Amino acid sequence: MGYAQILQFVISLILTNSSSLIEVATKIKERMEAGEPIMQDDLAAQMANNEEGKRLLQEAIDSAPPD
Amino acid sequence: MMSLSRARHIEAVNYTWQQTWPFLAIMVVLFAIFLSSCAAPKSFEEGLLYGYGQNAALQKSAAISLQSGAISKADATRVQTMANQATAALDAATQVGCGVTPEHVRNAPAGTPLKCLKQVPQSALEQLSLANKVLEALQSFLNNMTTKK
Repeated sequence: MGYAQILQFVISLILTNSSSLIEVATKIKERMEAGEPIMQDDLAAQMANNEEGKRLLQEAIDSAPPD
Repeated sequence: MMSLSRARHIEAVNYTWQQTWPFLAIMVVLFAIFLSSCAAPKSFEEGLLYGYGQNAALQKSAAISLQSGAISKADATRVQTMANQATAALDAATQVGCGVTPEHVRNAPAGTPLKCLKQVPQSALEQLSLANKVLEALQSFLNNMTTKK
């Protein structure tokens, strides 16, 4: 994989993550403005998302060759 | 059959695109980060949700960047250390500010509202602030690593 492809791939990934963050933040903001409380389910979902990120990073580190 | 001048024109366009697209892509990423910060949370509860979500996104980005060779194993290990610091700070902020442990949150029945204290203790705000600082540093580190390659 060349330099350009790697950069393009990483950028598209960052963009995807940024847009999903904006989506989550906007949704929650709308609900709070409408007077709806934030549920523990919402926090549990983000905690689970964080755990998944942690697991994926650990797996990637474990399977990567030494530098 | 394509004329020689047409072929040269296409070649010139391709060359220009190859030269400029990395710059354009970096500009787009910076704009996305700017938009993301505009949607940043205002309340303590929002701050917790946003913090866990952003930490997850950065760890996933780091995992795929490592797999694609865009960052080194040492860089990924550093990301992991910082992400763990952010998680610990967010967990502490949740516990002090909302009176619930991550374990409680995971086992709460569906539809239970997240009721954080109206007067959030200073220590909880400090933990959330610490998590945000670590996340900012993490994002900056990851951006530097991926654009350096």
